[in-house]
Amino acid sequence: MPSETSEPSPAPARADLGKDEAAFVSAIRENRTSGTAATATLTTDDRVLARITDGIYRQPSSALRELISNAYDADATQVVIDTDAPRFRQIRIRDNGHGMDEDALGRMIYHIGGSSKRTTVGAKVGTTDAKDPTRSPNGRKLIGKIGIGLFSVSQLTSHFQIITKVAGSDHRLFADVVLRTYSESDEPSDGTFESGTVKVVSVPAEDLASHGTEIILLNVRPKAKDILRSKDRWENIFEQEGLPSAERDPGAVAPPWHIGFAETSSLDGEEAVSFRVPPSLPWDFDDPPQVRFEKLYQGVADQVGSTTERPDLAKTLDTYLGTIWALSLSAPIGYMGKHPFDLGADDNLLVFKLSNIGRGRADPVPLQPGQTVRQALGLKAGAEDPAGGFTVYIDQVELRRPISYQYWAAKKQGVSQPMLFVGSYKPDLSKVSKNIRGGNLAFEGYLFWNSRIVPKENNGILIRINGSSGALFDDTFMKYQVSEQTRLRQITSEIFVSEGLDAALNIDRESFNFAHSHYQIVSNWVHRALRQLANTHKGLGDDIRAGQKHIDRIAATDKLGRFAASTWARARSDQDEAPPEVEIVASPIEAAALRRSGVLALDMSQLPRLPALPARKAKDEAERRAQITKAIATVLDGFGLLQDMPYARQHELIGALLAVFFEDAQDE
Amino acid sequence: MSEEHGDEAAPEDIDLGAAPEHGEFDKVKTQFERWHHPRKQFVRIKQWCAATKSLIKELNLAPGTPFSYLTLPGNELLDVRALSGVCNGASIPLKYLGFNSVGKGTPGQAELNISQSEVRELGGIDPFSIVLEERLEAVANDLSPAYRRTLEYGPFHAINIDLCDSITHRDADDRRGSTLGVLGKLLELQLQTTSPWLLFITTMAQPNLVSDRTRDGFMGAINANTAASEEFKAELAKLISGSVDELDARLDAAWQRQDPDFLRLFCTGLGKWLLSLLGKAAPPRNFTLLSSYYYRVGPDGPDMLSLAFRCDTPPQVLNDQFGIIAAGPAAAQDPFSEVQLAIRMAQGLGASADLDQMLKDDGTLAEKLIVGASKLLSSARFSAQAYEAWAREELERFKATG
Repeated sequence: MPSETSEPSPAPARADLGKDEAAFVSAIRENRTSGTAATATLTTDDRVLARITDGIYRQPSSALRELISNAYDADATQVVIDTDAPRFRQIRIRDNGHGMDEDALGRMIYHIGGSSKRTTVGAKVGTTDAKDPTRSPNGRKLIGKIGIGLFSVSQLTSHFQIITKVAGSDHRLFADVVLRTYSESDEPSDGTFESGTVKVVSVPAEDLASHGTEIILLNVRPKAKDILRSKDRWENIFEQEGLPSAERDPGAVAPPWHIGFAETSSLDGEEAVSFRVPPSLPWDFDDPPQVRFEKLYQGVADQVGSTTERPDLAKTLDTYLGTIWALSLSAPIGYMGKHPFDLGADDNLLVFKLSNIGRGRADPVPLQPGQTVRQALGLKAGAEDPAGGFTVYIDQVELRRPISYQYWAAKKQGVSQPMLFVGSYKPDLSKVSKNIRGGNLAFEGYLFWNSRIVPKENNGILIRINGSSGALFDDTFMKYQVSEQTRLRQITSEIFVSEGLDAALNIDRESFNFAHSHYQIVSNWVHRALRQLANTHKGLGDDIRAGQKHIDRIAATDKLGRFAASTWARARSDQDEAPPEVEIVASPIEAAALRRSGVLALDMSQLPRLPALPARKAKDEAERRAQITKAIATVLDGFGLLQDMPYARQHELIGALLAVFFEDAQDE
Repeated sequence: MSEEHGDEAAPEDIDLGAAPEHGEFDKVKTQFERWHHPRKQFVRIKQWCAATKSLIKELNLAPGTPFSYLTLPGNELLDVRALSGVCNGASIPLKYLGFNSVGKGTPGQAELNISQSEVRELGGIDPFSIVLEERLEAVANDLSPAYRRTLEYGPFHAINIDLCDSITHRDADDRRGSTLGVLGKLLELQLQTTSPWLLFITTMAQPNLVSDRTRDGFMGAINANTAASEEFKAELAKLISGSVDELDARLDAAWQRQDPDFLRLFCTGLGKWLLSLLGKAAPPRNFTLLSSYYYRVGPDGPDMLSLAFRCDTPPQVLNDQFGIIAAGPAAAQDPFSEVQLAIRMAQGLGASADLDQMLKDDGTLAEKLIVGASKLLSSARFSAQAYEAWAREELERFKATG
């Protein structure tokens, strides 16, 4: 067909799509001998396109997430991404999956914005299992849902190349895709939009056995590059640096970890790129990929005690490292340590089985030596991958789920071990009307209680469908209405959905349709689980506290201290927890160590100094000031003002309040 | 600008990027360049692969530890394809970091992308191997991302500076960066390892492409040895077809003329300069010439050099001046002698061979190289038939014109 083998033809009408696709596929085949590139015009459903151009993919990580999902669905065991950081001119994503032959490539190109996955067409073109369209050829549950797949890269570039090969083929396919920018005036009446053109050549290959797909995003869009470079953030920092110190925005500081900021200039007609800010990465050059990731996690966790009580990703990492983090949460990969279901008797945690009954209680699960939670409760999520494992590298960092199940020691806690609440649910929906049932639903899940959740973004609930997730942790726990300021901030939770719920995903794959019956069932289950956790935690805390003396500490302290403690409890509406111990120490190092064990530690050197007084008076005054300082800190903490505030800022606040009362503390 | 449009960003403030277009791309290639010539196959196999093979044998790399390689692989990665065979044979992964300033959206860029895809499937290629779309000169700037990548991937077991132009094309401190500047940075990086490593340099060498400053530097490195060693002086005189008595005059003349004497002098200067840098490191390194070849691409006689060097860190000898420890076998070794190394280098350069002449004289060798190159180029999607015809024609042309 001439229009398929020469220059781009006009957009085909809907009815001709199948015919055009077939002609395109045969043109690619003919190219093995003809040497003329096969060319096609891309069309996209306006519904999908409009959503994409509306910017449903807000972060560059979304496009990479989609491409990782595609690799997973193609049974890849390894994905290697090179982002060209810190410049991000080109991004390459390479996998060792099945690759695409002419049919599959043609199918994909003609359905960018659609998908051959999860339909019987998938089996025909070899992208799904021959018998089960919900599984990959090697038996993985597919995660690419709506199949926007490749089109999501349009937010990163309008020009990309696909190099793909299937095992046994003596040809490699090379597709050059140029996308157009959407404009409403271009929209034809049949609802399709000419979204770009593609040119495919078939090149001879000697490596018969090799297979896989590489996608090269050329000329990454300036805006996307700037997001990845954290350009706005750095420029704000540079601007602030030019201001007198009193006028500077205290928030405009470099994150502790970043990829640096490089700028391009022209030197006698040749491009020169230099770091204006050199990188500050938590790992060393010779660290292997997995260690790099562990150090990234540790680099965030280490902010506790030295920078802030609840380190958050945005302040600790630049956009680039934040992107790596976001992808590590979303991809269907392994954990840094063990999967929570593979924790066992040696991991020093209390395990409970969640009840699926309305007012049920969680039952303790005694683990035998060597026994895992998975074995004890017969859980399946995170068990062996049917395709032989899945590893994702970004710039030599091996992604792992950045969740740790290690206990954070804390002085003030009643319960001194982490608790893992585990359950599974497969509701019988046979009696629900087919119209609203939305298919079957099955999931497993856990709630992990720890004295502290680091980083703060790991607090909440994350829903994975077949191992993959588009969202970050939801710290409202699917809109849980009970206010438990302390306890809810101590929970990390994941739900592993093995059947259903995907229909409740919105098109962006990052949010849910709350009205969908599956979503409601999951959220009810989660809320029940939270209540069971709360009851168990309270019960355990009471038992332990009965024999402990930290309540006495509150009773025994002075009148001001008692007032502060009771104010703390009232402000928190939590009678089960005691306020933190407050200590004033002489050095930042001492303070950091105490903070890591849950003490609200203040560094004397950052607080107003005492006035010069005779020795005896000075001692009394120092004690009085210390009591007041501790009371102020306790009250502020009760109202939740300190928990997200960097330590330096906490000292400024407390210092300012002291200065209201003590003139000598008013530092001019 | 009118008042009502005062808040609108001028179009030039918004960087939307250039509109992309499809590049042209040849399926099976029939156009050949000078680096496809059979003599380059000789360099690949006899110089690069052979030196790599013997180094790998000595390195005793732990299983899974890759042979790390810095390269200027062009768009076809022919060197990587050839070396991967050596590494595969030794069951050692190959990890390469390449530099290639290919133009955006050009057929060259598509070629590079496909070549990388092919090369990664050769087996034993480390998954993080990559060709950066950067000029090598960027490495000379220690604030550049290219320099940082180099630090991340290095130190290397082999560095292959395979240039089309001259290594002395720019002075070392040129603001735009220079190959000599890069070489300095790479040597700094290589000083972090005491493991032996290889340095391959292919460069054009022409009298008019050597600045006064570089020539003076090379001569300074040479003179340091002529002053210290009569033997070196004699070897040097031999290299430039002169006698010791008229050495200075011969040297001046040799720098001016495009002939093998100039090439040998250029090599001596470059080699001696590198030796002086490495020999003064702590601990001092042995820097030796493994092989040197030259051939002709321009109109005025041989003007391209292919050099292979090797850097070793000799064991450090204890010097017990109070004689408590008896002198052991290590102590009996020759102390490090820069002069001896320089003499050996000069002797090695004396044996430099003219590759064009070798191929002219040895038809069997030429045929073997054509077949080998044809196979290698086929893997990079060149037409084998067209190649063999082109290669034979090139050899015939040399025979005819000399």
